[in-house]
Amino acid sequence: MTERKKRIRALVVRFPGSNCDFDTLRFFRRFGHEAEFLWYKERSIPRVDLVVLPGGFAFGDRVYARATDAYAINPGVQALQTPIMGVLRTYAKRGGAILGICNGFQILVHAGLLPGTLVRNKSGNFFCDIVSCKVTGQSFFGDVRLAGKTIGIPVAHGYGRYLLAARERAKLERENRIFLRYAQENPNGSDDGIAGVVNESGTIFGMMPHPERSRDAGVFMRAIEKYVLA
Amino acid sequence: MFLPDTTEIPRALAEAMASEHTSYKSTKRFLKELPTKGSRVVVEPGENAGIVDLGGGWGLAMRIESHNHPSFIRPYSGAASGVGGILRDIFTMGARPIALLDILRFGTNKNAKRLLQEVVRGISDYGNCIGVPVVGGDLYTDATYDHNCLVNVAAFGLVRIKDIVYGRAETVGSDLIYVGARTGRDGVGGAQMASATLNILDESAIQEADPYLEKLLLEACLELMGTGWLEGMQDMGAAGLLCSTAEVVMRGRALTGRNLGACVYLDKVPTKASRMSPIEMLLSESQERMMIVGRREHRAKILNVFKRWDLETRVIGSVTNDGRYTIRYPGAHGKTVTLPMQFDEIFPDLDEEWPLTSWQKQGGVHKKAARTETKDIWHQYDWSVGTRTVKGPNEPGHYAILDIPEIKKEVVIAWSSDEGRSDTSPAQGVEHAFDTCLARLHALKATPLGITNCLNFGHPKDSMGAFADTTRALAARARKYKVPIVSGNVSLYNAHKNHSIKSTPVIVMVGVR
Repeated sequence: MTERKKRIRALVVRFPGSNCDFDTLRFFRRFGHEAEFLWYKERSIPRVDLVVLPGGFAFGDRVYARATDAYAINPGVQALQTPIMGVLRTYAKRGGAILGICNGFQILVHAGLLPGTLVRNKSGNFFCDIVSCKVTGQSFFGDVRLAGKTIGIPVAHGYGRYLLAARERAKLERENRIFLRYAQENPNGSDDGIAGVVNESGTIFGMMPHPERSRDAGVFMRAIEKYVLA
Repeated sequence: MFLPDTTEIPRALAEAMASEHTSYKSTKRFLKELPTKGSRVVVEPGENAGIVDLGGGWGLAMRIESHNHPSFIRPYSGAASGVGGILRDIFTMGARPIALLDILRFGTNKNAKRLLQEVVRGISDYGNCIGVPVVGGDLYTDATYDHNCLVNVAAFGLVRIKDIVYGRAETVGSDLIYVGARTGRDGVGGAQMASATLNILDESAIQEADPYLEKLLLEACLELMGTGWLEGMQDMGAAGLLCSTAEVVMRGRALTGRNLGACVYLDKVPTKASRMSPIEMLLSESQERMMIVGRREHRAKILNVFKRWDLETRVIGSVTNDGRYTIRYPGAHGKTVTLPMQFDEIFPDLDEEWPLTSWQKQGGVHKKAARTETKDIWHQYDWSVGTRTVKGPNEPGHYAILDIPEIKKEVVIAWSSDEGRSDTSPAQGVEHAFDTCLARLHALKATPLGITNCLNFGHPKDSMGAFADTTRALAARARKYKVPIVSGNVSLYNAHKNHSIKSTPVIVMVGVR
């Protein structure tokens, strides 16, 4: 008798301008899991294992009253006022797992669900390449097998510079909540080369690099599987 | 030349429609020689993009466009709107854009460096926001481009062959639906601009680009694919509202043989500037606008999809059976202007005679940019979004490989041009470019499917001979190796005062493996 792997049920939040939405959907589906889109105007979430805020430019990185009107640039801010974010806060309070990638990380930080701020890259330019990252602290989704490993992960962002006050940083360090760091090249000038952090209860993960684009996508999925299905 | 009346409107329209950019009047007879048919060709030139058959029910839409003149005058906006335009050409066909290439040629003076920086920033801001990866490109510098930089952008899209949408109106009573950005004064006269040499230009003719609006348009339009609610779709590109509405009807007339026409209510057009004249509204080249030909019975559902994506939409007219193009402009100064639908008769090809056997040689050094320089450029482009990039700009070589998991295959894109050789012998130059692409595809064991090309030339008086030689040589090669040309673009008048650029024919060849 063959043992059938239990399937993860994931939702990928889709804002107008999310452009890694399909990539993230495929990331789950190609490993045999169930993944569906969750439209940003939804006011409830069905029972799922994980909600992902994908990368991209939600609302074009803009803050505006109407899509065709004047706007200011501030990635992640416009998303805060949407119905889905209210629902996500409740879901998060109940201990629901969330992964924010790139723009998703920016949204989580603005929402106060993760500490710190993400600002314009130090170079002033968008940056895209495969960057060597080291898994540190309590690891990606707490997977101890990954801890200490160095993995090449694509990054692609203009606002990925992670800043955090020294005291706060020491606290995160102490609690092993910095789970990913740039190993060699720091592509955006982040403090301490921080690339990913997790909240206090270990349920909300945010990272600038794109695990769904990585040639090692499988190791990230195994970590998520282990966490969700434990 | 027959014009129904002598008021301002028909004259201005005639000029716009007949300009070089919209009618290819002096190059048509050479382009006719290019082979465009083949067993793997699904859509030939004439539509918004060419489409080749990848197998398994999927097609690849492909097209290259130049945005040379606008990028020289306002490099950031010019380059950005170039990316926007070519992407619309792809998703207008129902294809989801999956890759971009940026082929750049710049001068060697100080101004060229500034232009290049701004152009790269424009491409980067636009392409990254939309989420279409720049999977390749190249950069050469040469003093010949000091007053005329070249910004060529190629785009590729994936489409289920059964869901392809054409730029056509076929049924009397169908809605002409306007969707996207509001119409402004930007870009009025842009189509004529591309046909002028660069010493007489006006900045206001360059459009503002808005990648976020484009992204909304893209997603909304692709959501309508396969619904059967649409009859056609057309980008409001060169010569704007007038050209797009006229084109869909003209294609429908040719296809159905019916005496179709169009009626457009200008008071329904959403505008961003106040007191725009009818001509400005008809010819504005404001970006991020689409013309949808919708089946009347599905109007509510179509409008709903656009509303869901926060897009402004208006039904601005309909397809008629009177064989006329009617423009209604109600209000205090209301009037109705009617043109016969046979635009070809109103705007005959002007066969200007240029020297066809000689061309102006340039000489000078043609230099490939150093890898450190190009690295700074491709770092600013998101080249890995979409998770299809198997070989991107991070590895050397004038080719890209894209994963197509839908059919468990890979697409190989090779590009080349040889301005050095084209300068002394146009035929040899384009042959070399063709051979380089074909050799790359063969080396990677990919079956060649088709070519899209961008023919960048100087003032016709300096370069029509080279143009004729180039197209003749390209046609011969394409025929010999059975690689059809499925789409392309011609950019003439890359000239400043008495100086024309070196002939720069860019070849982009696509294969599957």
